[in-house]
Amino acid sequence: MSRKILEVDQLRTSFFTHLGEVQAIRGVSFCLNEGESIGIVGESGSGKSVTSLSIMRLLQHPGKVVGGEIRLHGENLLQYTPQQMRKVRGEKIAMIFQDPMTSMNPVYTIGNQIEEMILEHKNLTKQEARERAVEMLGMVGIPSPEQRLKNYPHEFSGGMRQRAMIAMALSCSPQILIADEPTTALDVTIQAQILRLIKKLNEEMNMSTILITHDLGVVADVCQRILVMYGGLIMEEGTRSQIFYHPRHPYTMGLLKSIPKASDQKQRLIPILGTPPDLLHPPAGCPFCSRCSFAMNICREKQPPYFKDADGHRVMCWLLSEEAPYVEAYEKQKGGVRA
Amino acid sequence: MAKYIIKRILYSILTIWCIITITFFLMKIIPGDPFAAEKLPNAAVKAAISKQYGFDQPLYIQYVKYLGNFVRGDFGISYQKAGVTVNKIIGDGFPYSLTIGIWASCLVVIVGVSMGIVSALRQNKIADRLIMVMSTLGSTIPSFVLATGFLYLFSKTLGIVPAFGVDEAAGYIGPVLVIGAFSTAFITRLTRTSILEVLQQDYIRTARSKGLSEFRVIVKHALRNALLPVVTYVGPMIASIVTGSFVIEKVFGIPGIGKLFTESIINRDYTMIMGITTFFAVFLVITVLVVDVAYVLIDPRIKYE
Amino acid sequence: MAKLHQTKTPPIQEQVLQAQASPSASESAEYMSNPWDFLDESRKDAEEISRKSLTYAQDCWFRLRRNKTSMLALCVIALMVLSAIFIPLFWGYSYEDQNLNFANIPPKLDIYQLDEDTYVYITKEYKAVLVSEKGDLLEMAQLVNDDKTNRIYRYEVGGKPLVIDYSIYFNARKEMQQLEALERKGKDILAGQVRFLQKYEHSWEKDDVVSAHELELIMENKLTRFEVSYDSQVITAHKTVSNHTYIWGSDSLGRDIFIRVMYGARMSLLVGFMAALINFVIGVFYGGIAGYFGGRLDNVMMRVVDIVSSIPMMLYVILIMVVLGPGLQSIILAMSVTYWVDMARIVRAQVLSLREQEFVMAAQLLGASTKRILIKHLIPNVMGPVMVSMSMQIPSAMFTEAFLSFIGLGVSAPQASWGTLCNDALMGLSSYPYQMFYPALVMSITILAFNLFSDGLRDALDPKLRK
Repeated sequence: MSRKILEVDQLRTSFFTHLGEVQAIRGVSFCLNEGESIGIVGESGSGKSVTSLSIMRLLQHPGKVVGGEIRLHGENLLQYTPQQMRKVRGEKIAMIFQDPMTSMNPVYTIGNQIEEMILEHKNLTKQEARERAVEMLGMVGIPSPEQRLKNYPHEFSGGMRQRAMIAMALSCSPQILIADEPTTALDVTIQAQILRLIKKLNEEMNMSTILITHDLGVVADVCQRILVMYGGLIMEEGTRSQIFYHPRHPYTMGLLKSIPKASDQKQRLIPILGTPPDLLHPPAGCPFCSRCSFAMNICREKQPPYFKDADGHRVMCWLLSEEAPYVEAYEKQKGGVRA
Repeated sequence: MAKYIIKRILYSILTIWCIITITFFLMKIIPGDPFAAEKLPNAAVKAAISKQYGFDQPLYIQYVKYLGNFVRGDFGISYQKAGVTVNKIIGDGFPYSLTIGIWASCLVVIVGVSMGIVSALRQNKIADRLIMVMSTLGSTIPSFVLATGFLYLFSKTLGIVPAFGVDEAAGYIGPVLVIGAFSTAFITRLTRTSILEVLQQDYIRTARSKGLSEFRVIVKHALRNALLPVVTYVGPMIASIVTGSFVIEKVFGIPGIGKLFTESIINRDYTMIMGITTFFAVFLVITVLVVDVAYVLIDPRIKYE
Repeated sequence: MAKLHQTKTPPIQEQVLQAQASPSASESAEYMSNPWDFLDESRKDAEEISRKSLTYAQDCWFRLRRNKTSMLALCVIALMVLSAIFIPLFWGYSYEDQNLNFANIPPKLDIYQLDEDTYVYITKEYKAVLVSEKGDLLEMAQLVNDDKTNRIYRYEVGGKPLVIDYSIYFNARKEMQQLEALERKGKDILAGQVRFLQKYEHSWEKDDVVSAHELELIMENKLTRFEVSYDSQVITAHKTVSNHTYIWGSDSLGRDIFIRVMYGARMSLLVGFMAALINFVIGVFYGGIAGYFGGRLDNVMMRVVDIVSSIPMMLYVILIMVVLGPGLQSIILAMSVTYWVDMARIVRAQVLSLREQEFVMAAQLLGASTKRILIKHLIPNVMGPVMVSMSMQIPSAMFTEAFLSFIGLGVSAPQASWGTLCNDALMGLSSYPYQMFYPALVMSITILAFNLFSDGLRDALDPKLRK
C-alpha cells in the first residue's frame, strides 16, 4: 500500500457574510496517497473549490477555515506560518485554475510568469530558469517554446494558456497537483487533450493529483478514486468502478443518470430536480433530503453517518442502515445505473 | 501600433478643428458690438478699427482667416490692450501656470498613488480610514475655499508664505497644494479601488498559489495592473488642474494664464478669450494624446487594429 | 457485494425507543414513531428555512440602509433641501434686504456696557452700534464728530459722550510701513526704536534686532485695535454675546448671511438637480438610441461623443456662460450641453450589453414588442448605474456652479449662490472671515453629503458586492 501524502481531517470552512455564516464545508475528511489521482465531483456550491483553496490556504476574506486539520506528510498546514506556507505552495502543492483566460497576469509574458515561479523555489540562475521554462512548455506540448515564451497571455488560445498554466504549475516538480475545474472553460476537444496531458504527467512525474470538477465524465478517465461532494459534505467515496458501477448514494446515482452516453441513442437524461441546500442555514439532516426520491423521515432530522465497506467504499446515506426498509427502485440502481 | 497612433493623431486634429470652430462661432454669436463700450468718436474710426480686426469681411472669410492664422500659431491682437498680440500675453502668463501645473501634477501622482496603495493594503484599518476621510474632504471642499483657508492660516496667521504673487519660491507652495488637492483625492480613491479590484482577480490567486511573497504579489502582479486605469486618468487630470488654476490664480494673485482668462472674460476681450480657449484646448488635447499613446506602451493587451 | 456495516453508531436506537414510549408533539412524534417511513413529498421542503428572496431594488435598498454613513448623508441632504425650500418663506429677512447701518456685523459680538441696560458693539470700522444684552442690534449710535487728525470717533449715547480712540493701532501701522521701508533698504530694526512696542510687553531687549515680519505679527495679533471710553471713563469689553439679529452675521451691505446662504442653497441645489436631470434625459435618450440600434448609427453617435468628450469641458462651460451672460438658466444650460457625454456613454454601454443578454432574447422570442422590451427589461436594468452617475453629477454640478460664480460668471446680485457668497467674502476675508466661513461650510457639508450618498449608492448597486 502506498504512503499517505495528504490527509484532510474534519475540515470545516465558512464564509462570514453580512447575512451570517455560510458553512461551505461542514466536516470533510479524505486522504491522498502518493502517486494517486483522486477526483472531487459535485455541482456548483457543493464546496469542492473551497476545499482546494482551503488546502492551499488561499481563501480570501470573508472565507475562513474554522476547524479540522490538513496534514501534508503528517504536518498540519493550518499551523504553518505564512512563510512556511509559501514554501508549500508551488513547490510541494501546485494548483491550476478553472479559467485560463483570467488566471494569468495579462501584462507579463508567459515566460516571465513561469521563470518567476522557478526562481522563487529553485536555486537557479535566470538562464537556467529560462531553459527549464522552455523544457516545461515543450513537455506540455506547446510548439516552438522558445518563441512562445516571449508571448503575452492574450496571444495564446484558451487551450494553450491552460497548457502554459500546467507547465507553470509543474515547473517545480510538485508532489501534489490540484486542478480546479481545469477543463470547464475549454472546448470539448481541447478538454480531452488537457485531461490526457494531466494524466500523462501524473504518471510520468509520479505526482499525486486532485482533480476537481462538476463533470463525472472528466474524472472517469483520469482518477483512481472519486469523492462525491454535496452541501459541504462528502456523500460518497469510492474507486472509479465502485462509483460508476456500484453507486450507493442516491445523489451519485442521480449524477450518473444525468450524463449522456454516446452509445445509447434512446437513453433519456434524468435531471436531479430541485436546488442545493442553503448553507447559510444548513439542514439538520441529510443535505440531499429535499431532492432525494427515497427520502425518509429520519433523513430530514438527522445527518447520516458514513457506512463503509471493507474496500474503502463509504457512503453517507440512511438507506444503508440495517434498519432501513427495502426499496426496490433503489436496490435496482445499486448495480450501476448504466447497466 | 503605428496605425493606432496615426488614428489617434487624426482624431486629435479633428477635435482641435471642432474646438476652433465652436469657439469661433460662439464668439461671433454674442449679441452686441465688441467695441460698443469704447464709445468711439465717429463712424470713420469705427470702420477703420473694424477693418483692422477684419470685421468688414463676410463671416466665412473671417473664419478661414482665423483658421489660417491659427495654423501659423497667430491668435490675433487683443481688443482691450491695444496693439498687444494675444500670443505675447499668453507667452507671458503661461510659464507661471505651467510651473504650477507641473508641480501639482507631480504632487498628485506621487502622493495620490502612494496614499491609494497604503489605503488599499491596509483596507478598513486606521490608516485606510484616515486617508479616505482626507480624500473625501479633499474632493468636497471647493478649491477657492481651500485656497483662502490656506492663505488665512499660513499667510495671515503664521506668516510662512507670502499672501500674494510668486516673487519668492514659497509663493508656489499654496497654489500647488490647493490645485493638487482635488485631483490627489481623486487619484487616491481611484488607486485604492483599482488595487482592491485587481486583488480579487484570478491571476493574483495564481501568483499566490505559486508561493510568491506577498510583497512580490502586490508589487509585481497587483500594482502594474492596478495603475493602468490611473494612467488613463492623467490626461483629464491635467485638464482639471489647468482649469482649476483659473480660480486659484485669482486668489493667490499669480499673473498666470488663468488670471488672464478671467480678466479677459470680465473685460469682454473676445480675441483673448478665443485665443486662450483654443490654446488651452489644444494643449490639453495634445496632453491627452501623449498620455494615451504612452498607455499603449504600458499595456500589452491594447489591440492596435 | 459485501455487507455494509455502520462505522459510527449514533445513539439512534435509544432515541427511537424513547420516542416510541412517549409520543409527544405531533411533528416529532410522527418522525419518532416512524423514522424509516418515506418522507411525504410535501414535507420535504416544508420546514426548510430559506432566505427571503428580495428583488433587486429591495436588496439595494436593504444594503443602502445598512450603510450608516449614506443614510446620514441622505438625512443631511433632505434637511438641506427642506431648509432651502422652507426657511426663506418665514425668515424675518429676505436675501436682498439691506441695512447699511448694520454692515459687516459678525455672529459673535464683544459688547461694552454703558449703562444699566445700554450696551454697545464697536465694529471693525469703529462704528458704534447699540445692542441689547441678548445681542439684538438696536440702532447706530449718533455720531458727533469724526476727528481724522487725532484718529478719534465721538458718539453720543444717552446724552453722554462715547469716544473711540483708534490712534494706537493706526499709528502702529503707519510706523510699520516706515520700518518695512527701512528693512528693505537693508537696515536693522532695533526693538528700542519701535514706538508701538513701548505700549506692549515683550521679551526683547532694547537693542535686539527684530524683523519687520515679527513686528507685524505682534501688531496684528497683540495690539488692541481701539480704546473705548464712555463719559470720560475707559471701559473694557463686558462680554461676548451671539448676534441675535443676524445669526451668521451680516455682509458688507448689511444683508443677513444666514438667509443668503439658505437662498444660495436653493440656487445651488436647483443647479445641481436640474443639471443632473437634464443630463439624465439627454444621456439616456442619446445613449439608449446608440446602444439599442447599434451598428453604423451607434458608430457615428459614439464618434461624436468621443470628440465632445475630448474637448476640455470647463472651458466650454465658461465660454457658453460668456455668450449667454451670467444667470441661473445660463449655468444650467451650459452644463447641460456639455456634461451629458458621460451619461450617454454609461447608458449606451449598459444597453449594448443588456441587449445581447438571454433574457432580452427570450422576451423577443415570446413576442414582446420593442416598447415593452425597452420599458420592462432594458430601462430598469440600466437604472442602477444611471442613478449612481446622477448622484455623482449633482455635487459636481454644484461644484461647477460655485466655480463659475466665483470667477464672476454665476448668478448676478442681489441673487446669491454659494459661489458668489464666497466671492463676495474674498475681499474682506482678513477682517470678516465669517462671511466666507458659513457659505463655505454649508457648501462643503452638502457636497460631502452628496458624495457620501453616491458612494453608498454605488456600493449598494454594485453587483460584484452582491452575494
